[in-house]
Amino acid sequence: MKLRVAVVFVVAMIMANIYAQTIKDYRFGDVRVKDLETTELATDSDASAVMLLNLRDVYYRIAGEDFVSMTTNHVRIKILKEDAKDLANVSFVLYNNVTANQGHEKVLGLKAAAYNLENGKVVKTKMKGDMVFKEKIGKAQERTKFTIPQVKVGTIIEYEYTVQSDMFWDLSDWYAQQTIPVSYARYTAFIPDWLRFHFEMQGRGWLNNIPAEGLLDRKDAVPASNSRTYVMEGRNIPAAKSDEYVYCPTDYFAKMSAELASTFFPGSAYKDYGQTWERIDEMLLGNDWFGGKLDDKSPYADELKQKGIDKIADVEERVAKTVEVLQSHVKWNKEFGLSAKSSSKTAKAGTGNNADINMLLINMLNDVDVKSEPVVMRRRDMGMLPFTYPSIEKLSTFVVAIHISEDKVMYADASGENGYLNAFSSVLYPMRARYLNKKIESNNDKWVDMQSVPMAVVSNTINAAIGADGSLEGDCNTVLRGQSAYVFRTSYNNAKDEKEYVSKMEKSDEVTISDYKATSTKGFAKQSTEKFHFTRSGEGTPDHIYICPFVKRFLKKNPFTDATRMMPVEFPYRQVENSVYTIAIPEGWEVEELPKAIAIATPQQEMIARVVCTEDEGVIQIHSLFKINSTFFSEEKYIAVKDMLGVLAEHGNEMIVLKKKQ
Amino acid sequence: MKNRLAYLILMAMSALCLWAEPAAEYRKASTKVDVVSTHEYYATYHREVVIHRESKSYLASFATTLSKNEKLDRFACEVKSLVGSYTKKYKSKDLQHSEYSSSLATDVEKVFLEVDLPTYPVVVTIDYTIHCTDNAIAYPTFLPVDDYDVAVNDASYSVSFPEAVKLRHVCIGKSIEPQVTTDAKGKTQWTFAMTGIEPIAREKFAKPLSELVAKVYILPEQLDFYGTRGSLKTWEDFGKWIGDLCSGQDVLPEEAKAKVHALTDTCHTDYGKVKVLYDFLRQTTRYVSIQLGIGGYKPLPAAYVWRTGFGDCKALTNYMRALLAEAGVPSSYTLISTDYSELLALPNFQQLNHVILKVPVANRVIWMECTNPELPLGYTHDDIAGHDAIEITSLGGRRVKLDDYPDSLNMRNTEVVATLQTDGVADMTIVDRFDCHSYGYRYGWRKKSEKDRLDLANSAYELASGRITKLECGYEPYYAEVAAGVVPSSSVTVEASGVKVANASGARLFVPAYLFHRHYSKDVIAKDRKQDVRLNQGLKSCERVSITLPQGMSVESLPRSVSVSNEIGSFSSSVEVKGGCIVVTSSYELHRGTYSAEKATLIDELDNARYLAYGSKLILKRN
Repeated sequence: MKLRVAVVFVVAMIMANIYAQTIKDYRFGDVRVKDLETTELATDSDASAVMLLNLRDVYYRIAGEDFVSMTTNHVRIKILKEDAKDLANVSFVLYNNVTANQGHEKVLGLKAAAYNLENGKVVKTKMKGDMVFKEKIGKAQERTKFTIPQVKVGTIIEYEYTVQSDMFWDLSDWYAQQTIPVSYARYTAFIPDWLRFHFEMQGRGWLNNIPAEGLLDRKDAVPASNSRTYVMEGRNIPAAKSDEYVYCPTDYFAKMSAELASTFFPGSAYKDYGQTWERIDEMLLGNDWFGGKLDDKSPYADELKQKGIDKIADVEERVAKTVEVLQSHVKWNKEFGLSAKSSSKTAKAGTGNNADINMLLINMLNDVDVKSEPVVMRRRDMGMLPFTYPSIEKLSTFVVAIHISEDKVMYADASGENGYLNAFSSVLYPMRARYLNKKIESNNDKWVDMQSVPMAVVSNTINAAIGADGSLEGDCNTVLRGQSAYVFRTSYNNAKDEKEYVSKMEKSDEVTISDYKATSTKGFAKQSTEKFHFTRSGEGTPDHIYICPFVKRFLKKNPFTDATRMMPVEFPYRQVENSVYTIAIPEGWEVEELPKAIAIATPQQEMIARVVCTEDEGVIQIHSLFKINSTFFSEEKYIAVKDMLGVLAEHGNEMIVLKKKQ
Repeated sequence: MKNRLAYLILMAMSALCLWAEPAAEYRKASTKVDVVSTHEYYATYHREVVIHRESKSYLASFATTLSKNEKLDRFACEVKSLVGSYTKKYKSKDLQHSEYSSSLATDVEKVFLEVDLPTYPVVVTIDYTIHCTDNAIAYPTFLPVDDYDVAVNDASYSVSFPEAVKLRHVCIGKSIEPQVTTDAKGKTQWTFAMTGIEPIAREKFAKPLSELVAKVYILPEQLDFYGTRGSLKTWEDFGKWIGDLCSGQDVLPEEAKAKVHALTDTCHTDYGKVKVLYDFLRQTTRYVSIQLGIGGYKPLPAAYVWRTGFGDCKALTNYMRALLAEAGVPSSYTLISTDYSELLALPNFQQLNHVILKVPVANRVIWMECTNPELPLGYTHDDIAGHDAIEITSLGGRRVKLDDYPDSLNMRNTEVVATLQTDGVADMTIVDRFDCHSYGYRYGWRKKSEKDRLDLANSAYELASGRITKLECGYEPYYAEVAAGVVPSSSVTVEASGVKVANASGARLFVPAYLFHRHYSKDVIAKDRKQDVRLNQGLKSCERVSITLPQGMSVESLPRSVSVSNEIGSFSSSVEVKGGCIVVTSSYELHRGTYSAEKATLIDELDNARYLAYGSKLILKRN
């Protein structure tokens, strides 16, 4: 975890700007001829555009009877290549709940223009009102879209707008880093003394906190003291690029996020909004939509009793049978959530999100006398929880921790079909998740690293014989446990039918398959097995046979081909794969060469691989092992990961060479 | 007890039938269109679908788009489990509304209902009526099958219309004749029906679903659209209406006219003028979609595009036509489909989705794509080449057909020269060239950043284990004498060192014969094939790999030559040793066309030959 904090580069913004200075005022339309003359960005000659300015100012004011936040975005972009002309099409979504008293956002002062250099003079073309459109999205959202005229290669486009919001507590994230390079980015927040926010700045040190007076001159703003004025700036920030094997790329972008910590309005009592995780625990446990439902009985209590599930001695089995009953009644609607409906409502609907279903599971486990509790988290694909402040807003879902015995806890997400305890969707394995109910005094012990929970275990046993025609023919038995059983069942059921699944496997393993049989192909099960007969053609001459024996390869192709990488590598879960090959060679032939033995590992042994080949009296034995012990590799370790997987992928092509006995 | 037994039998039967059943089945799907006048109609839909498997759960959901002239009058949905007691009902208030669109502006709204199914099988029944009050230019289409793997038990469509409204119908695919009746009010009613339609499986190299199923368009003879009137009797009439919509939209401001003359007055040929103005279009405009009201068919004025620098296909085409006209070069606004290569005999709006510009110049025709002036001038791109189109002339619409390029021009030519070391590492030079419709495979590379280009090359040519020392992307059209026009070409040249290409195993090196096809996997498409084979485009690919033998090693075994030739195409591969080099060559060719399902084996035959050749190895041994 320490490692990751270092990678994300987070900084809590609690500095007071005692030695203030006036920050530069970038006026709309103040475009430099020098920038218009630029044809290429010196630091990135391939850039199709560069964001010259990326500014956000946040302040508060009184609008009528409302206390509102004002967020001004001011962007200036230089178009360098044809491809970037579409950056002149801009859209943003605002919240506007017309049926409620609160929850209104509106755009003020939207203006945009294009600047072109014609015969040495700057020609400004303003965007007219007929180029601005609005779209209603559902009941409470509205998208504003506009397009800027006269955009060519060489144009500078500029736009500015302010969002007025009566949701004063909600300051949206600001991304200093964009998909194009950013020359200058600045975030200023002028927070009245009535409010306190936690700010978090992240992203490889691209942003710096600077002392400044910020918006102190703004006459319409609710006043704020220096200690509530924040200014962050960044210069020459490179373009952000997503990579494979990263769950949430924006975790690694330079950005600012904020969350309300407390309010102290004149004439009102001081209100604290969960400034500690303990307080957030209390809030969740005290809520009707969460904690209030934890001790409920389920609508299936009678059925569980009738089936005798509450009497099953083995707790793990009791849990598994309970989940089976649950899943026979309720289907997951493919959505995740944190707040849960009551069990009776979920049961009546027959569907629900994972929070509804997991709450139902907790209630059903109450019925069969198994202790369980929610473990709240932010999904991996939504980004990490803030490192420098607690946040209820950032929590997005929960799974269920089940106390199998006094010293054994297992986890379940009952929404996911085809899973098991400690085996479910990998987006539910964040680095930090939090127990809610556990009566543990130490705060640290309430955190669990969910990435340490799953393990994908695959064991292959291959018994085969090489034919005189150079082919390899035999049987393969595979046992899949834990996460790998879940992955298998998901893949099997995603195929149209078994024929399609087997056909994909034939392609992937480069074999022809017959007599395919699998067990536990669906449902909540600890393990699955696959068994099939295979043939693979080889190459041969009258004197030699050449055949690649690796029917079950760890990987066929190195997934990492990029020379360098900006982001870390995040594997979905830990895994271990063992294969044992026993291969008979044909009469009249002898071994001339075998695949070479390897024993490789990354420097800290986070990944290890071993292959050993031997031959004894006409029988070849191959033992192979591949293990991923860690799911996270910082970008500094990228080359080691890439090189090791490259060696492994290549080794899968190694051949057995047989020669005809003289 | 009896009920329980019946339930168990039913469950057992359900389980037995699981794999025999289609994933879903429309028990009944009916559409009733009641035409009130040329302006107004009601379309009433009833859909009853049995969903057996989760893969078809989306059929339980409802979605439609409504223009400003359309209203959802009535909506009801019921979900009922086939086995068990689950029932849930939805009403109009459960519907969600969204104006979200990828265009800058449209005036249509999406109305939808998302249904989560708790169990299978279920019966989902949806009833709704759409009331169209104005600007009807097309009526709902009869499309009994709209998805793969769905059976249709009973589908019907009826349209009743008064004498004052003249309608026609046209079938695509299987011909269906309507039953014609007259109701008490004297309205004519056409009823189309189909029953017992087997599910259609999705197969590779098949015709699109739209060509596999029957479809009936109901078309008005007269148009009354946003205050404009026209006839839809012939494409000529249709063209007249479009021509009227365009009329007066081509006026350029004086400033624009002056610019055209400044750019073109010194050009000696019409082609020169076209080229200059095409470059001007690329430099000064961009594609932005605006579809409001009649703007869905009427182009924005040329003066608007001049002022803003953007427009959709109609606006940009109309603008370019105005620029060319000012330069004295005539051209025609032309409507086309990027989906359908052939237009029906009866004019319709359903098939047309794009506008291009016909520019006859220098004894040939340029089909100009004004939304993407980055395409080489004179190239007829693959979404329109060979398609029917409606050219708008002063006399009305004229049906024309765009030429396409012969398959032999869709060419890939790959040359690889590799110097191999004893450890299986090689230095190599790759020159890879793509012509005609294939040019897009590498065209995009030149726009990428240097890092992205290197990453793409590493991935495409499997060079990640080594280092790329040179990477150049070329792109230029060459001017072949082809009726369809200019032939574009893109190429990359890569030099790389230290690339691991072969496995060193003891005294041997196992070198893949085709360095870039090591992971080629074959498909079997002939097995249980139901549908005809369709190849929309032919191609030719030639590859030559020259590998210099490492010092101290000689050839122990080389792959056999392979040669297959059949009606659909051909593949040949040969390996020979020349001096200190092994030279591997291959040629692969596919001919476009539609072939009977049995001939899918010919594709498998070619694929198998490629699989064998691409998987083969050169085996070298230390001397």
